[in-house]
Formats: sequence, C-alpha cells, structure tokens
Amino acid sequence: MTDEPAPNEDAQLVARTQAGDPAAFDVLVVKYSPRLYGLVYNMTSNHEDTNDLLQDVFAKAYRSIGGFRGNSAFYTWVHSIAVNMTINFLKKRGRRLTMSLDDMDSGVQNDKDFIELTSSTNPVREADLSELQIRLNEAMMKLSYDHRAVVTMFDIQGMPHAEIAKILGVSEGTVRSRLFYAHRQLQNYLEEFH
Amino acid sequence: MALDEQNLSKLLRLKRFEQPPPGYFDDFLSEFQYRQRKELLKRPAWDILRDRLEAFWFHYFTLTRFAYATASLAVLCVAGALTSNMLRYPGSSVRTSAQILAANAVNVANAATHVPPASMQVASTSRATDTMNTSLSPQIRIPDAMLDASVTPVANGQHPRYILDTRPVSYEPPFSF
Repeated sequence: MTDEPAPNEDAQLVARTQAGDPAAFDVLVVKYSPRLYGLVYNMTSNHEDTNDLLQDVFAKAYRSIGGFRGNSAFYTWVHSIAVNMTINFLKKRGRRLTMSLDDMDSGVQNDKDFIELTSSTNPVREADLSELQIRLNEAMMKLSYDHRAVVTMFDIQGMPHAEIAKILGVSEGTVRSRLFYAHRQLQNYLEEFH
Repeated sequence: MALDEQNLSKLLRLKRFEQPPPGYFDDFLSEFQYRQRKELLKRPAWDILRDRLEAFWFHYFTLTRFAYATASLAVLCVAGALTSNMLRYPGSSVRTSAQILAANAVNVANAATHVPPASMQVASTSRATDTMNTSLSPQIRIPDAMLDASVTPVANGQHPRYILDTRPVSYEPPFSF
C-alpha cells in the first residue's frame, strides 16, 4: 500500500498555491486527506479528534506553505506536520482510551489477511475479530506516542522505513529500533488474549 | 501461545480498514473552506480591545473637542494679556502685601537719612492715615514723595519720630449691644 504520490504534480500544486491559487491547495487537501486521516485516527483512536486535528493540519499547512522551499516532498512535509500536531495533541489530552470501531469498513470481510486470520488453519481462528481488534487498539494506546506513530506508518499505512525516518526526522536505525520494541510490547499485551 | 511477528503484522494491517463514515471525505473540503472563512472572522482579543478603545476615545474627543479648544484659548488669552502687560509696565507686577510693606519700610528708612527742609514738614494726621490704608492695599504702589511728606523729622539732630494719630480700624473694639 505504498502508493507514492507524484512529486512533480505536488510541486506544481504547491507552486500554484504559493503564487496565490487556493484551488491548487484544495486539490492537495482532497488528495491527502484519506491518507492523513488514517495516520491521525490510528494514533488518536477517536473520530471527532481526528477530524478536528486533520482540519488543523491542513490549516497549518496552508498558512505555512509560503515558507515551504521544496527541500522534501510535500507528502513528507504534510505528514510531518500531522505527526507533530497529533503527538502534541495526545500529550495535552493525555491517555484516553476511547475506541470507536463502529466505523470499521465492511470491506475487511474480503481482505485476505482477515480471511487467513479467521481461517480454520490459523492458530487464532477461535478468536473473535472484533474482540481482537479491541484488544489491539487497547494495546496500541498503551504504546508511547513515538512508537505508536512508527507502528501506524509502517504496519498500518505501509510506508517504507526511509520515508518514516524523513517524516520523523530520525535515522532509519531509530525507526527500526522503535518498530522492534513496539512489536514486542504489542505481542506482550496481546499474549493473554491467545 | 504468543502472537508471532507475522500474525501481528497481519492484524495491524487490518486497521487500515477502519474508515470514517461514508461521505466524510466528500464533505471534508467544504468544511475545511468553511473553517478557513470562519477563522478570518475570528479576531484576537487584543485586536477587539484596541478597536473598542479607539471608538471610545474618538467618541470622547468628539464630545469634548470644543470644550478643550475653548479652555485652551482662554488660557492662552489670559497668558497673553499678562505677558503683554508685564512687558509694557515692567514695574507693575503684582506684589503681595508683605512685599509692599517691606518696600515701604525701606522707603521710610531712606527718608530718615535725608532730612527735608522745615518748610516741607507736614504733620497731617489724615495723610498718615491714608498712607497706612493705602499700604495695606496690594495693588497700589506708594510713591516715595508721599512717604516723604508723612515723615516728621525733628530738628536739633534728633531721630525722626513717626506718629500714627489714628487707630487702625482693626483696633476698634467690636460692637457690643
């Protein structure tokens, strides 16, 4: 799921926005809102908070786009804004375990991972998927913000290590290290379930 | 049995199917634009306070503008009149009673050293009274010639003696019934 955006197209849209064309920024909003929604939602686990944060992320990006020099891709830049704002929000809000799995898309029923997980040959076949997801979300919320961000971007959104490293402003080794410890923590949290 | 790395990754990948309600992204841009417009109308508190202060002072100065102008003009007129008067009559500045009395004393002392001829000696009690009365008035300057006329120098080299033949009004006992 690494549908990399076209940098040239983004660069043109950014240049048009900087030249005073707000419609160009609207294109960027439409383009990146689903991806950024997934990032923010899996870190906050709350739809309303995600909506507010996402609006704020794009508002901040629009205000700051005049200073965007194109040293990185717009994709990386706007993801950095989203991650930083979400982490700041979570620090202010504190830990609030509010899960909202009601919005789970029904398309999951056709996903091959879902089928494999719930198949008769899988060790976790007896587990109810909803219960498992609830436990997983709880475990995610127990991770630190930095670890949660790495897991969200790598495991859920399928970003490569290098891209995550650019977004977070850390080395790839740090990303791998955080992933390793985050996975171990998640496994420990979910151990009882199995 | 622990969840292995591969199964954990598969389980985490399922979370990408957690999506917002249908139509959310269709309305997202409209909401974004609405919030931007709303933000333009939202002004910081200090900006509102500045505007209100400006409005208040403008209203206040509108009401009192002419009063201040009139008062300022009056002050300028009085100051100008005083200044021109002082320039025209340099010695006519307003003096206090104490200053006038002190000046009179000096004049009297000066007169004592210059004994006038006997023909000029006048011992008019009424004039002496007038002199005292006028000396109490702060606006009138007593000419030296008048003071000299009230002096009664004594011949034969004695010190002059000054006589007030009438009692000041303030010494009169109050009426009693």
